[in-house]
Amino acid sequence: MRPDREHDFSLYAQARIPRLHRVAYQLLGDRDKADDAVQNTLTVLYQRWNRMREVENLDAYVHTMVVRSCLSDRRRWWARVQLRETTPDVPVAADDPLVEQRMVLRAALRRLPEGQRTVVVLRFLCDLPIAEVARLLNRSEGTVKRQTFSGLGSLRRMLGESLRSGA
Amino acid sequence: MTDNPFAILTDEAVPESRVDIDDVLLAGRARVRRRRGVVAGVCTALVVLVTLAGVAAAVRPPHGPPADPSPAPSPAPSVSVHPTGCTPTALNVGGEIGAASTDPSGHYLALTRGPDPGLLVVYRDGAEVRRYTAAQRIRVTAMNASGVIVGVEALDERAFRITPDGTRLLLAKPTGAVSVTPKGVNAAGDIVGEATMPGKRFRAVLWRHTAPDTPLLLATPAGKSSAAEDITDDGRVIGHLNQGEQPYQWNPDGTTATLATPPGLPGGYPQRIAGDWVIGMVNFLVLKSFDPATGRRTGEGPVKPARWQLSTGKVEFLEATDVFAGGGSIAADGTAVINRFTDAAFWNGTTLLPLPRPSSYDRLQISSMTADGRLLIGWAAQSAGGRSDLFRWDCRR
Repeated sequence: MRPDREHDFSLYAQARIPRLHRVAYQLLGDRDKADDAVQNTLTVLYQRWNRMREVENLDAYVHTMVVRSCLSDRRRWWARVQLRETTPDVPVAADDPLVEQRMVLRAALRRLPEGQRTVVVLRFLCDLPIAEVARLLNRSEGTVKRQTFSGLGSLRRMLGESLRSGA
Repeated sequence: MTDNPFAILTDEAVPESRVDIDDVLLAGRARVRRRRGVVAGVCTALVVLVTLAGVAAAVRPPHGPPADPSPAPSPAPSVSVHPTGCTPTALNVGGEIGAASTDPSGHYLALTRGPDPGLLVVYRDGAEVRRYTAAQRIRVTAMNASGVIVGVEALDERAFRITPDGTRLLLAKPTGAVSVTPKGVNAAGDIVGEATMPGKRFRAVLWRHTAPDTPLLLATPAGKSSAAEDITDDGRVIGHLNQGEQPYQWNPDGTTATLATPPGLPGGYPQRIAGDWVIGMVNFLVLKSFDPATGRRTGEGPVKPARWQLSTGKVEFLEATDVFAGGGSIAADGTAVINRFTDAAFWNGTTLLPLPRPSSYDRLQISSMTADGRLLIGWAAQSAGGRSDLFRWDCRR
């Protein structure tokens, strides 16, 4: 890559790592897998960087890349191998009053079927519109709406009325 | 309760990422090399097929083209004197920095903001003098001691120049060009850069300060692309042909010259010129560095920082792999600064002298250096916590 382009890439990528990591972490629920997804995304982006000037919304494009990288990671068989029953806890501040609620909500999310969980996470944790989720998952908008409805319904049954519908 | 039932998760602190931009660059470079290897393999297979068909033998001339003249080996490496006693000082510019650079005199400082990359702020002698905004990211590519600033908005789509009185103007494109990118500007305000022509070909361009709306395409050998990277106050322009295949020089009298590359390290990419000295990269592998007859690469390994002395034709290179491609600055006496993955170091052609890190910071990078080599601008960062601040280094000579 030409030096000025590499410099350009370096500035761009460095500033986006925290945000991309956050998206990947929300989707994968695992720090190391999230790091892998971000690293893979940025490595591919490096290779394509010379063509990126033709992309109208670069941030949206890269966001899509990292989501797809996460989804492909989850489809691999070894992604299902876990040496522990659940992923390691995330260190939190001792005085955080929402710790328990978060743990309960994450546990409930993990119990959702794969398709519903993916849709719910993309819709509500990654804040993507229905059309974007449908495009990312290669599903119709109707399917996405249906899976959102089913996923939220299941969560509501698991958690009671503490979960208000946002669909 | 918010509309989003998962607000408590979206607001949750997530573990800090351990992805390192240096690892990304290394992985990206390796990926590109692997892809080129595949292309080379395909080329080789094609050549073999053609040879088997007997066509190659029929069309191949009895003797190949004359080999490029090898550069004269330098009798002894030149040794500039390292600056001493460099002192880092934090620059309080109020907010997170995107990129920052200074002009050859050190009076001007131009910086963009990380959170708001469409904002460009210009300081003179420590005081803010101008502010510009754009819909998308601004990248400053060069500036001179009069306050002329050139750069691009939104990944090279719109090239601009800012005149000494602060007016921002779009740079004129040569006839037929798709876009232009300015790369360097001299004291008079002459600007050089490249024009992207249809078919993804590039041509070196000069905008004279006396006729900025009439860009001139610099002479380029037939069939080759060209790009200009920087220009001296006396009008010498440095650049390259075919995107780094051959380092090149355009002189004010209309003559041109190729810059030498070290034996075994083909390809060169000069970036900055100060006085008689040029800083850039060699072993600049591009696809054309593969021998089409054999499909084999004519060079190996990563790009290497290089320094040329124009009056002698001498080229020196630094044997290092932990360097950013294109992360160099040079002063008029040949003092070079090389950005490595974790810090920056002066390079005198023989030895390296690391710049001192500010206390409590563990990484630093230099973006620019004044022509006298006494002032450097860059940033220092803390790996833990991700804090990054703008610094100046004042050095004794």
